[in-house]
Amino acid sequence: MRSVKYALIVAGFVFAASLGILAPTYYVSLLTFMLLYGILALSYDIMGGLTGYMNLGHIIFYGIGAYVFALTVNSFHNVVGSSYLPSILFPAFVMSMITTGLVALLLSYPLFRLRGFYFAVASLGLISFTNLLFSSPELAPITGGFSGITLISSVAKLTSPQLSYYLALGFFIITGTVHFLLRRSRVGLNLKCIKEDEEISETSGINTFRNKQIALVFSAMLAGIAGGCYMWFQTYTNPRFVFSVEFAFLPITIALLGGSGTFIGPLIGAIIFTIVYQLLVVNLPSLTKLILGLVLIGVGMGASRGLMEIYSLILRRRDNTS
Amino acid sequence: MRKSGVSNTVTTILAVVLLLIGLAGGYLISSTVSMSPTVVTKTAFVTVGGTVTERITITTAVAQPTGPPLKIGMTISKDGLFAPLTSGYEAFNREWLNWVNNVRKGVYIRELGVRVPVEIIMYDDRSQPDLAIQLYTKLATEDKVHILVSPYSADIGIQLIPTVAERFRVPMIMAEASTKDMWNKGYKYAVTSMVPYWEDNENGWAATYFDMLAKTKWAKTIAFVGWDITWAIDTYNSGKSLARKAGLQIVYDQLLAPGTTDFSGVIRELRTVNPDVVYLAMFGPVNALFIKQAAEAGFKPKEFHVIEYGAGFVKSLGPLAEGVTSDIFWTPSFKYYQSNLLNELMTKAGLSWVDWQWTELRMIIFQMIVSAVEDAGKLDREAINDALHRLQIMTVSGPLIIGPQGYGNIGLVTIQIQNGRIQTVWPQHLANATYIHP
Amino acid sequence: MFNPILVVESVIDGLVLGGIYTLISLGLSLIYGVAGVLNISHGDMVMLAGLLTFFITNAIGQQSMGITIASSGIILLFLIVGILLYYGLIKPLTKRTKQELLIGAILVTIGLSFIVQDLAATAFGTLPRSIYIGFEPIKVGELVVPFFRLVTFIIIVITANFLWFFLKKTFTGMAMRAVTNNREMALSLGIPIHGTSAVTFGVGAVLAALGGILYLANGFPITPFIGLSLTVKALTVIVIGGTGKLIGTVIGGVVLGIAETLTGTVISFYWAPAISILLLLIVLMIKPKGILGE
Repeated sequence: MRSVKYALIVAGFVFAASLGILAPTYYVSLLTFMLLYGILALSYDIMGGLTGYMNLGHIIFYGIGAYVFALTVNSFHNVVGSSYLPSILFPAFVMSMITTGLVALLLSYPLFRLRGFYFAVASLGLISFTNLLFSSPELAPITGGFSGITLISSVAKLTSPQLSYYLALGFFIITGTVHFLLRRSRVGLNLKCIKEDEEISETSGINTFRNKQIALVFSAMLAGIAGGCYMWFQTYTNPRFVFSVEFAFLPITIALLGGSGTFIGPLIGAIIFTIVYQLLVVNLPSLTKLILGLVLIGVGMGASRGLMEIYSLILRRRDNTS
Repeated sequence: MRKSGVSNTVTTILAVVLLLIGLAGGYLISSTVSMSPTVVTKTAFVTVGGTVTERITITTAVAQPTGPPLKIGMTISKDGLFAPLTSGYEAFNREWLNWVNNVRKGVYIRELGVRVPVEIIMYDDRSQPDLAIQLYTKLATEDKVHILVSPYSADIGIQLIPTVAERFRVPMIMAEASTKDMWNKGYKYAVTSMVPYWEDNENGWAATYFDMLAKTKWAKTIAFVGWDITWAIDTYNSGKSLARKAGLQIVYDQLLAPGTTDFSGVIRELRTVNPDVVYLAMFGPVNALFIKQAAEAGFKPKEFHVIEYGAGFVKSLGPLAEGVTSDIFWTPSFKYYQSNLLNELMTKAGLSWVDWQWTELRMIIFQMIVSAVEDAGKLDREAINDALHRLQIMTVSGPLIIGPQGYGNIGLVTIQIQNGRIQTVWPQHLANATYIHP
Repeated sequence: MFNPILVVESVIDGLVLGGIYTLISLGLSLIYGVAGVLNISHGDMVMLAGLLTFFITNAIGQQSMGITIASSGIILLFLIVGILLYYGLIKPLTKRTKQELLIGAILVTIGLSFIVQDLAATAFGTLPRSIYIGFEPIKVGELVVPFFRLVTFIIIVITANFLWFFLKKTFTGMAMRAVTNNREMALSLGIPIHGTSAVTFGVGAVLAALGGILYLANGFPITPFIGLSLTVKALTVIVIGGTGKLIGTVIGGVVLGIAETLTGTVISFYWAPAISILLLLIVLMIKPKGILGE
């Protein structure tokens, strides 16, 4: 059983890798978005699923990652030499990761004084705050203010859908691995206890703050890298797009859709969401949201553990009958 | 677990059914071909940047194609925020194309010695900036258009110039989207017909308005309220400067965060200040909202001046709209070159000028394209770009000369709502009614 | 600008604005307290009520008459819809654990929010709608108050009192409070949990609807997409005020409303929208359970 599972995973990756070359360009773009959403959902899940803390403000890290990526590229591209791509991309991604990690570190001190409902609302409030911050005319010389930020054209013209796709795929694999390893690690075990009952965990000697902080920082760095990837892919963004309360619910929805707490769950959620959304939009562009809403209600009512629950139920039935 | 067994099955079946419907529809690229007698519109669905959207190609059903078509590319918004502002352009484009191909018989290309038909490719950007950029990239790279026309929003436009026009070397004509920062960066592939309206001289957005105030001498004090967003802020700043030059005293000056819709505080302060004129620099429907809220709070200055009326202004304000002034590039009473044609095309497209006040910009763009291409003599982007940059033609709004920086000289006239109708009131040689003021 | 008259008018304005926030937040708070559901679609109900009122009023023609007729109808409608929503969407979820219920409810209410937004956008278009009733403002010396603000204030006070009476004195109200305080105990006392929760949903929806009607009637614009930001605002109010007692929500709403208007007048109109978030973060840092939290 186990070797079948691993073989499937490997086959999956080979398939995904080949898609980058074989699929028509539009589909590669589509898949890149799907992977980015998947990374967002997975990194969200490190807090939401493993720790039980609904970080509704998760996309802040995505947006910051995107901005920092652009700023790094724009500032240093002539220092490092525009034509050699890795020398531009690598430091930019690293900067995105470091910055979001630091932000998460700093935020953990005030944020973790809150629990549950309050934590969720506070993190949601942070989105609006960040939006205002990045849109403000005072910071506009750096962030571009209301109009947003662009990658400098000498670098932007080097981007390609294929490159973005492979970067996204790579980061997705990394994110999935981190999620998987974290869950199995000592920290993951602690987080599970915290999720069950925080007071008892505290009294049994687990340093809840430190563990939660680790989770948040990982969660943030992964989202930050995804943000950098997004910036590379699109070469442009603005605060209303990445720091919007509506967009904030997307990773959570996807994670819940597929199944929170596992690493396959958010991936499935991302795939299903992207496919359903795209294909629905073809037929009923003006009623897409409506149908999406119906699907969400369906999943919410049918299986609160997401589609993963259905999958495991099917497995269980199969085991029973075999 | 057993209890939710039934609903799990139902959910699975529901999800599968939905997926099947989606798949079935998805693999059918729906191609609807609608025929008006002489224009063919082909709609297809394409996936760009993670979203599926609509692609509309308008061509003429020409019996024998005479040569490769001149391709014009643009996006309009059929969905979302900009839909009420641009969705009508689809019909307008169709009417113009009908005219240019079937009446004018195409555009003459010297190098080929024939008149070629024009083809317009439009994508629906659904008011999403990300998607718009992807679509313009597609127009430049895959659809290989010869000329691009900007979307409505200057916010998107300003990003498009470096990421598409300059990068792929495609001439782009900025339509409504124009702002100072587009023209001071040395871009080579962008042009616009509009004056640099952010300047505080005769090019200014409300230049004729302040000229009118100076000449009629009735107003002493003025208040400025606006959103800090491209275009609005340009008109705000130039307006203040022009007001001072016209001898008015600025008694109130309040910039608001874009998106603000609660003006009760501002209106409260304005009441104590009591200006003669209130200059509103925001989008049409928001200006209307301000006027409504002011009335509700019992504040009515002697005159409101708005930088645009927007769609449905008169309808939503009713009697409150009386006397409100604004600025525009063209009115139906103009008699310049092809104004009659513009009137006719708008009527055929079912667009009322009262609600679609920037259509003349699109008409001017078409006039520019035809002249530039014929001047260039070939269907080549560089040649067309050069021709655009040295353009000197007559448009529906008067003579147009494109300057070295890429912008033109089409300025604005002052309009006023009188008895529910929009009248041109200044400058006097173009006016069709007299300015009403206290 | 610092001018005593303006400050007083701002405070009045803030009271009214805060009052509208309070109504909306009370609805959300009740639903969460009794049914355990974080209703993400709450703000969309506000929006829907507002837009429906707009269109019915326009259809009828007469502004003031139109609004009265529309309001009565809509309030009744939302009461019924709220109850139906509970039975249809939420009740099936209650067989699960509290955490799974919350997650399922969030999914379901997000779905509902999408559906409502799309229906509203398709039916009503995406342009912002607002109305202008045209009553003369009220003048007291140098103070000027728009007429309908006063009406709104009166309506809010009446509603709040009515709600207080309902919760304290009627059987259903007491049942609602019992379920909020201790679910198991309420169950063992024979209180019908589902019936109570359903009524709560209805009441919550009515409060949201009333909020929407008042929002529209005071000249604020409504588009099909403001729902989520309104929900977030309501959440802010609840957190600032504290989730324990309902009076906390009232205080939270009033505080927020006045803060918004005063910031504009005294500091700057540009930053007024930021105050709600700042206030939220400050309160959470200093007194995490809210002003009156327990």
